[in-house]
Amino acid sequence: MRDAGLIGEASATSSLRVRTRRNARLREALFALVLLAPSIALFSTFAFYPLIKTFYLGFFRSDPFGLSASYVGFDQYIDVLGSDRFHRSLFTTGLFALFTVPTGLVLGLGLALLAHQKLRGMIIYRTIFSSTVATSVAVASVMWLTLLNPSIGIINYGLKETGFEPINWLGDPEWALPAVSLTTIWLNLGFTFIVILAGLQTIPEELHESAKVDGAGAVSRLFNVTLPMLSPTLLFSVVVLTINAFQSFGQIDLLTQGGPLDRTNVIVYSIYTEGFRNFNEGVAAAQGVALFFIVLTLTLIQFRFLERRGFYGN
Amino acid sequence: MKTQRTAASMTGALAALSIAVAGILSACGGDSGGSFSATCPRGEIDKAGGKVQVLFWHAMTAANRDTIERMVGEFNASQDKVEVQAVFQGSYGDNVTKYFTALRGGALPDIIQVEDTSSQRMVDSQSVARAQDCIDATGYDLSDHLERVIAYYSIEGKMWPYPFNVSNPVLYYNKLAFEKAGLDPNQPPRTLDEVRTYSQKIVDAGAANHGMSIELGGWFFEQWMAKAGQTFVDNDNGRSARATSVQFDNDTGRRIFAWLDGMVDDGLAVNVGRNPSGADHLLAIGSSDAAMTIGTSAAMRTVYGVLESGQFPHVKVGVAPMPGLDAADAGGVEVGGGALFIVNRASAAKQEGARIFAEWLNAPEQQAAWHIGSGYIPVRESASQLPDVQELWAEFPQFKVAYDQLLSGETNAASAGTVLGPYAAVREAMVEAMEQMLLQGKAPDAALADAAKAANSAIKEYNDRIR
Amino acid sequence: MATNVPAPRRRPFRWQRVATEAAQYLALTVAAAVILGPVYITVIYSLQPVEKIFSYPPQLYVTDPQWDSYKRAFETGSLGRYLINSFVVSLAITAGQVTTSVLAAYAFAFLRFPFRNLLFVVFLATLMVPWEVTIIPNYQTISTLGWLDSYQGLIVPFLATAFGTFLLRQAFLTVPRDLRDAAAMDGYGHIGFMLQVAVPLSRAAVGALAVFSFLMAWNQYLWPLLITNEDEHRTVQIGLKALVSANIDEFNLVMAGTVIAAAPILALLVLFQKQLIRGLTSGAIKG
Repeated sequence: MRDAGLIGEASATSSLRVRTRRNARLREALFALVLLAPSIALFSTFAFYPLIKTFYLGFFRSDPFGLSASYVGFDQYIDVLGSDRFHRSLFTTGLFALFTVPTGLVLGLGLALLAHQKLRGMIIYRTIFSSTVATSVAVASVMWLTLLNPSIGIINYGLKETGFEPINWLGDPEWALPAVSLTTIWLNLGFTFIVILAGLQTIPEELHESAKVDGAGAVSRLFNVTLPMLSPTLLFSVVVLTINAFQSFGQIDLLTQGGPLDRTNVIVYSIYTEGFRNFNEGVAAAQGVALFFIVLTLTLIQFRFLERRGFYGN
Repeated sequence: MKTQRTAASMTGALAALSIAVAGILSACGGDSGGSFSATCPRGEIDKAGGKVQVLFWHAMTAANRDTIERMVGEFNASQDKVEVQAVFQGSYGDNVTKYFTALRGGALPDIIQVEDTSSQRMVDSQSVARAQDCIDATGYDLSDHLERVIAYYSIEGKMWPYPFNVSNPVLYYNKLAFEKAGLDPNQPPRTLDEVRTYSQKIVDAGAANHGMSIELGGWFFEQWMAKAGQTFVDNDNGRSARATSVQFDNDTGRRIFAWLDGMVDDGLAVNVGRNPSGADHLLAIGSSDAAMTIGTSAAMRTVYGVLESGQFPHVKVGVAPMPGLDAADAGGVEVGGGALFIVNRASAAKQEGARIFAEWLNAPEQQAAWHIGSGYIPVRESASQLPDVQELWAEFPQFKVAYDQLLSGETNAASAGTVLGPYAAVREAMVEAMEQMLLQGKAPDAALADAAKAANSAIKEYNDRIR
Repeated sequence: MATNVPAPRRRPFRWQRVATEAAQYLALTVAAAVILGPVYITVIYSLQPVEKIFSYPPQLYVTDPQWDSYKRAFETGSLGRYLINSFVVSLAITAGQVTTSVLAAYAFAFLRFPFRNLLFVVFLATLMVPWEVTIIPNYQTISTLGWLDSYQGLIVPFLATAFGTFLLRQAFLTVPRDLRDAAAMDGYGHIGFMLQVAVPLSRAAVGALAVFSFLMAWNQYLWPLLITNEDEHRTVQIGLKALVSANIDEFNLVMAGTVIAAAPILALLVLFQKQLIRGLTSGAIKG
């Protein structure tokens, strides 16, 4: 992140006198503020104000209807965050991210590389590869619910026909999380594909040409030209896929409702249950704040490790 | 311009709302909504002059939604005082979520359809009017309504919502599989022991992979308790006073758990888990994975529409009352489905309009039409005697099973069913215990005891927040 | 990897190129089939009577398509009016998000100002606030503003996006450094550079953002449900939910509704792909 403003540096170094440079810097900062103002205003109203309110709600034990609330200080945070249940759902969430993020990224990258070629009819393939974004979480879940159905699902039918034991995908504690992950990977594939394909488009053709002239093979070009040039895009994909994994709710609600045996009870599902089923605002708030800081920390770590290694950090 | 008008009216509404909230807060400073003023708005519509607009939130989907919206249209055309606007608000869960969100300062309906388990929470929210007050004030006759229905929606002897869509659990079974196993298809099992014996025969004869498909849910457990004459929670199932603890960790509960465990362990039942599609237990019959299941009577049309469509030549559906623990059990099944709460934040005229609408929906003709159009059970006896219903029953006797079941057995605290604030949390505790027993091999008694512990802590936690 | 530049050296090995292309087509087709599977099944289901959907073994082709389910889904779900509302809302949100994101991303990528990194993290942090806890406060805000049952209530909360800012910042970061110097020499100001160099060069990313913004808006369910009561403002996912029966006896309607709701998005994706290809063949913008 420290290297984000390379271009600004170029203009700054071209200035000659310190005073004009200071003025120019002030003007640049003010201009930046103008550009950022609309986003800042909207975020303050619709993200940070609710977040601060949530943080504050975490200090209260509230009745289910917002009629009354009593101050309990950090007790609620300590109770909720120290509970076994919370730790288990943290573990489940981590496992879910582990199942979905790397696989999703590799598949998305593979598809994008495959589709980043000039072949006849490529537009059809590209549209198909990006098509999973066209389905909402709800729709994708209904689709997969049918496919994974133990009695009439096509997947089990295929297993039986090929001589395998059918699997109770969503009812078996061992298979439920992998099954939900499969749905999620499929659901996110279109997104990752589009992002990475868009990233590939911005890599100048000349780089490949000169590498080829230097005698680099396809694999060498992939690792020495394509991937380094793609690193900002890959960073973006990893960060967004991770955030998505930590906030996945719809597919869990529709496919497994957190079960069986809590094996798919990720944190957001637990927040939802507390907030909207049990109407326990304070507990939901405490978990929400915890989730916020966990994801924030993870993102910062990803930036530290991935952006520094990125092409523009060298 | 539209925006300005909306903004102006919203400010007005907010001002009115904040006054109302302040009034309520000062009126009930104490505990569980005990200080309730018994009033019934009457003659307010005439005072208001012109038609009163009533906003109705419902959660009916697909064909049932078409039926209810058609009925609302008929109501609006039937008189010139009240105009009901029916608005679909998603699933039952979405509908209640929206309601409780709007309660924090937003636009509320005047009347809302709420799922059976939400009654106590609606009462606790202090935002709904008590139907009994108007029933008493206007002398509305409830004698024709089914006793079990009145019992289900009464707390401390007072009716809170108006009943509307009623269902209960029945046994669905495959007559052809019964025949193949040498069982009499006209003698469905009446007890859990018989279910087990039948299942063994079905499996032995290869008539299906399992005798029964079982969905993990709190509902069936509660129904078995009710049939055995056992209350699920204390204080007469929460009806004489707020419930403080569960009572299912007893011999009856242990028998139910042991039976479930044995059925699944011995391969006599297939566990379809939380049944995410809502139909896995039924589809198991279609795919010959099971020959019996227990499901809501509201699914009757689906069952016949899908299983007897000709796609499953090996299936002929039978419907029977839900088997209980013992044939001698005197209790009965509880009511399921949804009911209509009138919102007390609405103006007196709107509340009166909402009541007129609710009474209209409870009239015999409407209940008959609703039964025919949706498959829910008519809530009153005279509705069942109307020619349309009798004709339907003559042709499809299975529709009568759920109705008769609601009339049979004793109506007492147990079969009245449970009212409970943290119903969702208690049911979750029950399902988790079943999962631990069936998937992890935990002993039934221990699983049940843990369920009771988790449920009790959820109840305590809720009650602490209410006071 | 195949290339569009004909290399004379390769001519003698023409059979090899044919084989490579064949292998590529094979890989593409297999991938397409796997990805398309669930979609195909949705379409199949939408065209069959319910009882066939649940037949066993599953039937994977349609013998007698029932187009009627589309008509019924359209009517039962009031999809006509809802589709228009979804278009209005989604287009407005897309335009807003692209605008605010271009501006903010430009600042983060090209300008120097105090606390820039910190502010970027703050922006990103908005992505980590779970909606489950913000939805009630936001409802209250919209209610206080008098925006319940209005387009602005559906649109305004979503006009800014850290996701978009992040995506475009990453794209802007790949704009070569010498382009900026060249542009400065040519007398471009920041606005000129943004609109005439940075955005066109990042057209793929901007296009992707537009697609995602539209999709996000199009697929919203709970928020529109919470803040609207009138058909006048309701959006397509609410109509879709009304088709989802608690029972499965009208499953084909759900599937048909799904296809109807997804069709505009698929059209959008085709347009987007065309846009991408033109971006490639137009030779890009040279500084």
